[in-house]
Amino acid sequence: MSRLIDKKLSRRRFIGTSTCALAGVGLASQGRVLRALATSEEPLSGKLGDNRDVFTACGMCVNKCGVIARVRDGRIYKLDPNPEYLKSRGMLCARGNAGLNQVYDPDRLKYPLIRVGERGEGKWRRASWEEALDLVAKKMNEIAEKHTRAGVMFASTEGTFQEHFFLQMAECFGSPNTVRHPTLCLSSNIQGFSATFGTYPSADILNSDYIIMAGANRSEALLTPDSIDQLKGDGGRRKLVYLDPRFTKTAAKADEWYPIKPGTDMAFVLAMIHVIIGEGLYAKDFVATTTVGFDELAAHVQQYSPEWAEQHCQIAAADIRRVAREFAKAAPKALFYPGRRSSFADDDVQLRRAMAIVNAIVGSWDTEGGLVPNSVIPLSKHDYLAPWYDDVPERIDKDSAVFLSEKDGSWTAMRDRILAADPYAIKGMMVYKQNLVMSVPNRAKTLKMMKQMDFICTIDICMSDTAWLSDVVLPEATYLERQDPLESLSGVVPVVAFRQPCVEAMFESKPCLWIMQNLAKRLGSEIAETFDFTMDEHIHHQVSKNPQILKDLKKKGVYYLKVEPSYGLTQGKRLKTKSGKIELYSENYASKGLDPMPVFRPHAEVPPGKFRLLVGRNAYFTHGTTANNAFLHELMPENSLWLNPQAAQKLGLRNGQPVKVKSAVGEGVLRLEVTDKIRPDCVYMAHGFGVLSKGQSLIYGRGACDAALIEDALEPISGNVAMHQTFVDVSPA
Amino acid sequence: MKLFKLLTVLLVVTCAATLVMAAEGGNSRKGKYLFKKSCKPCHVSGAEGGELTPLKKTQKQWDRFFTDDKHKSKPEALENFSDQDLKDINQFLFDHAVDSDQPETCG
Repeated sequence: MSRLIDKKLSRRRFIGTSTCALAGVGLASQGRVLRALATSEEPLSGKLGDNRDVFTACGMCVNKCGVIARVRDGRIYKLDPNPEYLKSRGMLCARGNAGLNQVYDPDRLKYPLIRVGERGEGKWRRASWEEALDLVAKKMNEIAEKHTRAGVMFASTEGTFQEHFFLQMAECFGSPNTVRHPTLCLSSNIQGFSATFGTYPSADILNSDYIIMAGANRSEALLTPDSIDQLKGDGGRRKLVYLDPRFTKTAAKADEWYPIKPGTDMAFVLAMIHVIIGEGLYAKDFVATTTVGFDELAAHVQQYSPEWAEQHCQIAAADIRRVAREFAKAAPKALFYPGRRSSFADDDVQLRRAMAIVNAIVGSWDTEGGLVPNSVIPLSKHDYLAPWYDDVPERIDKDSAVFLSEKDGSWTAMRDRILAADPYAIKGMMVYKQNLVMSVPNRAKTLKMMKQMDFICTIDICMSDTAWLSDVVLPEATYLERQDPLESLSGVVPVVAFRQPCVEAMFESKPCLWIMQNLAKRLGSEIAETFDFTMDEHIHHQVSKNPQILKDLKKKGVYYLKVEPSYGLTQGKRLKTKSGKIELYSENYASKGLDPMPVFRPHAEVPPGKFRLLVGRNAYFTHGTTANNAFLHELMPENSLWLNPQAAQKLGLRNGQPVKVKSAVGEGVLRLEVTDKIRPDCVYMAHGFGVLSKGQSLIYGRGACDAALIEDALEPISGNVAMHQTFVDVSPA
Repeated sequence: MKLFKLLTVLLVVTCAATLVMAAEGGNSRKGKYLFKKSCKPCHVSGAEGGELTPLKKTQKQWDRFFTDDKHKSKPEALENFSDQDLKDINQFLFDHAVDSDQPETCG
């Protein structure tokens, strides 16, 4: 087995290489940025001689990798990876390196702003925090008075380690209408795996011998440690089979790549199960002792032969059969990777169920090289008693999905109900970090929803499209300027992450906790009392049962209990399913009128002359948040539309020409990239461009917005959006 | 054999119905408020009742607690609750039990 501890870099070795490589880039770019900032007449000089190396955690994406900020003369000079930080394997990616630009970005939000023109017109006036927060509190109270406290919704997303203060505000203010990112993200995946295993597990990629990935572009959609482990392998015997309609950088690193027809992954998985059971290759003892519903499953998959699957997914039956046999032979050190992305189609939960089941029947569960339930290092929680308000109704999107998270909601279902005022009106929006205009499919509907709001307040570090369309914009301090609460990151090897201020918060930016505390004071003593603590007190409370956590964090920037995975922790224990076992057949689903086992139903074919629009990530950008970062902007200044040469020839289109892309809900213009890296029936564009906000000066007017084109099909079990069900026309612009 | 299967199905349906019925009529959000306000003071780590969260029991076990057990280790603990209060608390604990339908989140 590969030892994680061996993956750590010695600090001396790392600094020796990485500093030399990037120092020139950092110096040149900082000079330009600081000159640009100087035009704002702010004092920029750091403290001479203030030279420090500060442990913190990256905030550029979801991964929270370990960082050492090199502060020189009071300014962040460079960001390096923390070699002690096991989760990121001593790595910091391009986005992580570009993080210092979040602090020194001329486009960053500097002061509270109050809108003076029409919404979206971009006319603002600078306000004091007192005036801005007074206005926010006044508007929240006015809306609550008229529409109950449910009339104000709270949209937020993870990553800052301070989101829970925003959610605490929502709960204490009394609104049930919180809406978070999961229904644009993993909710269908989590549901499918949880219905099978009782939880959403991690994948022990480092120790796996055989990995199948379906649309999980791990070489570009970076996830630590998976992205790094996927490339390292152990002894060269690892095999990676990759299914994706696009030839991504993961495809380039795979042993086998199959450009599967979108929407048919389930057919591939069901045929694998058919082979594994039919040929008796399943883990018989494991299945007998740990699962329920095997007999039903065996009968169910008889219909799904590889020859049948070939007709749907366009992968040769012989290949499906061979992959299934190889997978079973390598098991239990074999993984059908759970993936980590939004829904492909409106049957995504059942696809994820099928993926979970194929892992289960070969015994890839809680074992080396297989799926492993996450471990977590406990931290004491800040508990508070939110006031109770008798007149507040249930969530507006109640019952819009079979398994609706009461904290996360369902974004598109909620938006539809708000537009219809069904069953009541929501007239206020509080937004924390989430750029919903860019993230939620069918942008026209989002804009319509915002138009009917009486008041919108956004807290962010930059003028996102959502901030651009708000009435009050509050500047948050960036992750390199904040002391954040500790964050326990679950995984095969869990860690506690640490984020402390590397430099003082610039301009008038403030951390979320400060903003919530000062807003709470204006909303009444009962709410304010729940925020009556300092960040220092909060952190000490978190480690009250284990003070060593904080000591280690200060000393090396990370805390962990162990450096090697533990396997078999769930053996003999009840899983969090209804039966307590792995559920190949789900009684719970059956009782709710859902398919108790995955049933393949073909999706709509691409209409003649049209293309299926695919979404996907690249390694430079985190959703709609980093395309305006100057360092990353140089890597990809605008997005393009991928189109296969056959299709381009048919349409008479040539590489590089501007094209119009049109769906049933919107359109956009961007440059054409004619490439073999995509199936002839699909097109693809990167996320994060086509912005409305002129406050993102580098990317305004560049490329097209995928959210404007994607239709808002709903995955009804989880409430997730189905991203791959939009067909588009492509024509010369 | 057919009769056995039918009886099994009936038993399953009856059990499922019983589960749902036992927790019906409660307001989960109000239950959370009441649980935190009135139960938590004794049910945190180090306190008299020991740490207690909804995840400590299955849905069935929570229902049994309210129909059969009724806090028998200290019955007076429930005296100050109205019938509706108890329904609300039951609903909250049921909705967030270890085997409940409340999904995990991401981030």
